[in-house]
Amino acid sequence: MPAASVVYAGRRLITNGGGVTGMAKYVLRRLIGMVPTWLIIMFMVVFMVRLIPGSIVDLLLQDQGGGGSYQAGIDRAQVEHRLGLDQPVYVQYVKYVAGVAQGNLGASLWDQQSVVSLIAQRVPVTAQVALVAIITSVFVSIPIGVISAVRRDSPVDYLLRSISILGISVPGFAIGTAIVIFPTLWWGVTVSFKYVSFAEDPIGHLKLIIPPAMVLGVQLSASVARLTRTMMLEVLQEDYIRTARAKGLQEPKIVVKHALKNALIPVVTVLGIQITNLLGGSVITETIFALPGLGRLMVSSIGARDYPVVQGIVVLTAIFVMCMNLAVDVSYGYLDPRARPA
Amino acid sequence: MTIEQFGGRVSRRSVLEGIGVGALGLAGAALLGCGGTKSGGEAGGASSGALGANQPKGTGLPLTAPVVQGKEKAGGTFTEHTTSSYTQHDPHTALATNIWHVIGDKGLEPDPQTAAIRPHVLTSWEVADPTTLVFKVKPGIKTHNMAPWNGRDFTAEDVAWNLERIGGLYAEKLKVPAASFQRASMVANITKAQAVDPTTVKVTLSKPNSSFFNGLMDTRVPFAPKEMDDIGWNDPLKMGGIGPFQISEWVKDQKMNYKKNPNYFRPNEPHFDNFNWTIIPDRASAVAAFISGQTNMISALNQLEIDQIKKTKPDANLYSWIDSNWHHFRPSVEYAPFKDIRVRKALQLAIDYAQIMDGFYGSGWGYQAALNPGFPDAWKPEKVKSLAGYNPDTKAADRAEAQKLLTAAGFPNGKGIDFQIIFQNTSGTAYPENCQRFQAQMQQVFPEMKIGLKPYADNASFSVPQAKGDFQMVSYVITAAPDSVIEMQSQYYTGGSRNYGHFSDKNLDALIDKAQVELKMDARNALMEEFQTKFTTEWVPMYVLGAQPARVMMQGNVAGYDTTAGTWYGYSASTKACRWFYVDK
Repeated sequence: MPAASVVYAGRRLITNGGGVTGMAKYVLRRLIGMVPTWLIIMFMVVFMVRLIPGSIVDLLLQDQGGGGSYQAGIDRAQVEHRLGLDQPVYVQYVKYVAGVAQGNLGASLWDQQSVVSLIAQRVPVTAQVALVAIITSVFVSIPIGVISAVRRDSPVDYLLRSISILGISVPGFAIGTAIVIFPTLWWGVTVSFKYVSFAEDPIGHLKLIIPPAMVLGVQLSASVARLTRTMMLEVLQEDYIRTARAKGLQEPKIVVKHALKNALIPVVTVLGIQITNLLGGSVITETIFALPGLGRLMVSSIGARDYPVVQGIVVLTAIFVMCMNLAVDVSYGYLDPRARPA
Repeated sequence: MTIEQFGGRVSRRSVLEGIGVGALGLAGAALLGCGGTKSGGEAGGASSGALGANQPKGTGLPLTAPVVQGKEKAGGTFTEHTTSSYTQHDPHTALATNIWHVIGDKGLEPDPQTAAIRPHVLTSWEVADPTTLVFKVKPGIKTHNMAPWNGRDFTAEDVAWNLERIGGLYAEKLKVPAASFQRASMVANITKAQAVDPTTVKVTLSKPNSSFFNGLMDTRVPFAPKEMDDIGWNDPLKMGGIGPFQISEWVKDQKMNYKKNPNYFRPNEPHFDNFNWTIIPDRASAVAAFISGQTNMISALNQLEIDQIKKTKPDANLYSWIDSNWHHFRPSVEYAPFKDIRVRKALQLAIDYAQIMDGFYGSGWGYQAALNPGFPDAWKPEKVKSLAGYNPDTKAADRAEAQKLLTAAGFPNGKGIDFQIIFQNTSGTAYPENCQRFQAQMQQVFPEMKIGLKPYADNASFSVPQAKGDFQMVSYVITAAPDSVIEMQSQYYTGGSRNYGHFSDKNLDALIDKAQVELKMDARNALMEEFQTKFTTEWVPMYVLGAQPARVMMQGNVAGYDTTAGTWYGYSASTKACRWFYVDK
């Protein structure tokens, strides 16, 4: 029997003499543990989306001029039946779970498009914005945090900390609106609102993606920079750092090779969790920058009371968040051997 | 019923005039007399360049419509923005703006300032007898050059199919609830539409309908090719019409793009090669898009936005007029105190209309009582302003009278009256501010009256109590129908489709019934006069705050808007865009 192993990030992790490793068992256990969580989430979303005041039936009736007929109570029942909304919610839930188990998230109640295809069209936009935001935040926040820690209590430290606090304090919608409005008022130019895909126009596409990514990245950077600073300050006071200095190692090498690597362990885990927050932020930024991503789809679907689409987005987002949490936990074990499951 | 019943020797033309002028000012009467002789293209061209800046026209309402000078530059792409993609695509059941406002076209069209009927797809409209109408279809109108039509002729058969479908006559066959055909009131009483020959349609009515021709001017009843029920109303890319533009791209939440229909029946229109809609949900972003030149037009502007744009874009042109949208508070007569005319009248006298409308709009709005001032037969803002309750100069006396009325009704200082106003709390709209100002005013005049405000987050949640009539008072904005009788019927008739406050008065119903079948202009106008008088004195079914100002800004290199600016030209830019063009300045 060949030796079993868990490969993570291109590295062979814990192996166990040909049996299933502790890490693999841990991952498997976590995956199984996700199922009830997922069922509960689906249960909640199916019920809660129907608790939002107003229903798609009313909207359809209104759009079809059903004001008078609604009062007579005729058309509403017909529309409800057509949409399958006349069944008890628990029946709708069971049907929904059965559909999801088969990979069928249903279809939009408005135009009958498959929810999977609707989401698939939007995910790339949101994912690209999130990716650029993360890259931005990593390349900005970690150097800021390191410099701020190394230059502790200096004017540079105060300046960088102030910027971080500003980034955390100012809401994303305000930064986004400022990016759109101020250049318009000052110079008569602003970001483009005409979406083009990467395949159509790579440069034009990047121009669309970068401003909202910057908005999300700024907020992410601010919190990561503060955490990096705090962790660096802690690590820089460790004995092994003092030993390294005593050995005559150069300060940059001490900071980058010895201090930063250890300081980054909690930063990486926090960064992973923060990625899920980007999905929430995308609702605002995609609206301001008119990007056709998942956040916009969520907003328009809630407004239209398009239950299957809202459910689909929430369910898939929940899966993503759960997987991210798992990935963070696994990576934590990878970065810090003490945290690996037995 | 015979034609003699309308006055003995009534000629066919005079009956025709009677119906048509129901929606006309004097300026339109001459044109109507020519109904059937002018082509749509000729009619459209006749108005070109006729209007100048700040010239009051037609119905006498103020209008700002600067004429853009310069040499016409053919072609180009015109871009507008909208906040979301259209969701419903069946023009005869959809309430909101839809694709057919661009790719379709309507039977008749109104002069934007006078509301005079002008020929369009239909070149003549005649009353053969009070229950038989005959229309002539402009020959040579082509459908869009796409399958399955491939540019075939649009004929009387298509028009007949549209009229019957608009009227809801296919509801059973299509298994669509009859009430879903919201625009049926535009062709009320229709029982049959028949193609007599390729260019002639005969319409049979169950009883006379004085609003029929006016109804066909509404952008919301565009014609489609008769095969559309077989093709289905779900996929916009499969839809082809006869309008100036043809669908070219449709991506939900991104864009709705159209290309020029080279075979459009109006000569030399449209001018643009492409007419694109970009989806921009955020208002600030939409303003930025206009300033930066990404869009060519922006509408529904407030004063702050106008000032911002003027500073950064001084060559942009502002077009403004008193709009066909009107604000109101509608009491529900299910709430006991509002059953009493003295209570309803007291509130009408106590409202400071100018304070509320000025508060949100600043200027440019118009006083309105029962009917939107854009209707030729409606009272104009100056007249309304002189009436008790509306007149700012007599406000103190009116409020004193209001207090007496409430005391007489058993509610001294408003004691015992306790109601809520429901409204949509949408940012950027007037609803929240209107309600707050109304609440403050009433509490100032009637200190013991209790008024609560109940905001709803969006249209979906608001529409539930609105449609059920589950409120004591409701406030929102209504877009007027293109005919005063249709407007009366939907808003005030017992069980009318927009009569959410359940107002009911048998005398009012009788008056509306009479107006609907009254084909003589003078008699119908007299009925409308009676309606407007009793609306403000005997019935008071709602409190109309005023007609809102329309404010549109256009990039400085776009011309032709002066020919389409005004109250009655449909409800969206879509039907106007084919008359605009770029100029070299």
